[in-house]
Amino acid sequence: MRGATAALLLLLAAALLVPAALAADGPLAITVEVPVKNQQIYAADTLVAGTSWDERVRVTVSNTGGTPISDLEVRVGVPLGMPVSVPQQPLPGVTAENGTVRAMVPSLGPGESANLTFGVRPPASVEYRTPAVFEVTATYLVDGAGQTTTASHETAVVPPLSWVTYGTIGSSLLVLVAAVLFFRRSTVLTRFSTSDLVTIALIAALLGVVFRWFWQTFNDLLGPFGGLLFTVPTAVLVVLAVHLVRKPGTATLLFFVQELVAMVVWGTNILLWLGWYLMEGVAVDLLCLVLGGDYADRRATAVGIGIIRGVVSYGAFYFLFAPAVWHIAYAPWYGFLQVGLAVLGGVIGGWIGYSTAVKVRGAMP
Amino acid sequence: MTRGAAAIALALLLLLAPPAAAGEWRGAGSPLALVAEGTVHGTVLTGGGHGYTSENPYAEYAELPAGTVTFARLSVPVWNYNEADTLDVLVNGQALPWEGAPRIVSAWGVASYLFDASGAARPGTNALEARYVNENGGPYGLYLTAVVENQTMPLTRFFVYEGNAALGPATRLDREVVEVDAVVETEGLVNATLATMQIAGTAGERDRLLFNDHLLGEDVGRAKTGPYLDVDTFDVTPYVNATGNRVVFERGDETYIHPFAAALVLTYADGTGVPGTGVTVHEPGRSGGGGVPLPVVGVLLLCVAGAGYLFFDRRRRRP
Repeated sequence: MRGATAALLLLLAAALLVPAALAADGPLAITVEVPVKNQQIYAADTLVAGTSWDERVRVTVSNTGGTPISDLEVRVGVPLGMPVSVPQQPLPGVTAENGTVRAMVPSLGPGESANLTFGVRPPASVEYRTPAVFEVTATYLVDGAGQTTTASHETAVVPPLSWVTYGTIGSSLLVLVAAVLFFRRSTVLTRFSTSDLVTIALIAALLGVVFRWFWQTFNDLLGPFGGLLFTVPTAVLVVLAVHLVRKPGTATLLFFVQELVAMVVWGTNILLWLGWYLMEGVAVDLLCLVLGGDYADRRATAVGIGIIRGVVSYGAFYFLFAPAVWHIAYAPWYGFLQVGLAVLGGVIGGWIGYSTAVKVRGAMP
Repeated sequence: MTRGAAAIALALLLLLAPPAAAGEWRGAGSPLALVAEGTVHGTVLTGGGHGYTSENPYAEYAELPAGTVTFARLSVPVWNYNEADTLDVLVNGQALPWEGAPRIVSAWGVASYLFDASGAARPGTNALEARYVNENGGPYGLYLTAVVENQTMPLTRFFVYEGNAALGPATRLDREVVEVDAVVETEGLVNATLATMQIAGTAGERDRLLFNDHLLGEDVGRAKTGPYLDVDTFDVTPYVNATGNRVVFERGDETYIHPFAAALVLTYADGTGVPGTGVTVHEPGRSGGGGVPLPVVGVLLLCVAGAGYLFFDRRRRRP
């Protein structure tokens, strides 16, 4: 019985090892990293069109066999005619010509590896997500015999979605105007009083100046949950504003004024970010209108306001505005994690905001 | 005092108290100051960095020519400095001692760490590496300024300036002026270059860089070296004066931009009567900024006044 078990284990081990041996394609392994960034945060294999800098590409060749490799020549075909730059690096003699990057590695012992790094400038613009394949060809000698290993590494160049920044401004305003027109016969549509405007201005200033500073100051204390220090107060204050003012357009006006204040105090670029600010306001105002003029009068509505603000604001930032304005493609899981945290902040903030709003309203004469 | 009022007072106190354990608004930073100067047979090399990429470790390589490295300073601009952060820098595998804190911090934690790399940098390829602990932050670059002396090379006079000036609306700073406080020989001058390093420039927002009122470039800070990083070299040979040389970084329509480094390097023909002086190193500036920004205090005061207005306005309207 013991012999049978041992035989079974041996068979299993052999079965595990054989496929790996069969899969090995020569003694040289090639890996390609595009762009060379922290890929826990930034999207792997994604280049955003229109960056003003070169994104780095790193090709690693490793000798996975047991015999030294010599006279290794690595050639990388750069797709889409992207201009190439070659930074300082340990590997000497790296050249780039006619869309091909070349490097020579005199010898590579068993278990050793070498890196080839170069920069590529993504196209100024692409209409759609465009595949870009880096073709790597390595020729070398093993025991005096010539061998070749090739690898194709597919990446994508994504458009920067610059229309987003301007499109959202227009579409947000259009949606709000349409909604206001739709509800014009309703009693919910009344003009802002001086008190309303003062309330909105004060809360916008708190958001744009005080809580922005507060968040920047303390966000590290909560590590990856640092965003809660902004999303929670934002949800509290939006709920407070909506509940106290009780008029359609309050949230849109609130975020618009917040943007104006941030521009004056911190220098935020109002043109680029205006659409983003308007989107979250329009979303909250629409929710109140759709709920028949429920201005966070129920805790569920207040929490809903926090959630919708978190989803729209963070979703738009990570998936639309970051590529459009900053030319940065975040890793999808990272973007979704941040949206999730914003929703969590919205739930907490909505809950607190409702209690606060009811008390503040009750305290008012 | 009611519990609610006490809670509001406590919240205000927390907001206004100088934070002890986290990064905060660090103010306008520090102007670029002269940190090294001299005249040697040799050359001065500057550069290094590929922008903010959140890589950890962050690696760069610098090639230095044959000779003796008599001065080498590594400037590491870092985003989002907080007191608990660490930054370990190695040059060719040799750990560089650091002071436990950045030299200059400005704005929202744009930090300038300075390391003396004179004993670690050498001719040939130098491996520079930064390993760090910094939640939500990291280096923009590893910027090396090195003086390599070599008697076979031309006579070179140089002025190296380092700092971290936060130009932006929040600091009310629109320009950074670097005055070269020295009489410069113009006889026998073969070549003059100005090397600069700036952080946080944005493409399309037009800043300006001037040398002795000659425009060297517009939108120089446009993140061309890497995300949020610009490293540049300009030929300023025709513009050098005997006295009153100056570099002007103008913010223009940049929302933020931080000039970090400038080096004026003058190369002379053989036989010029420019005396060799060796290298003189000056203590770099130090600034931690800190405190609550004025707009935050102003808005909090406004809110108190506004809340009072709303309260009395509603009481006045009460039937």
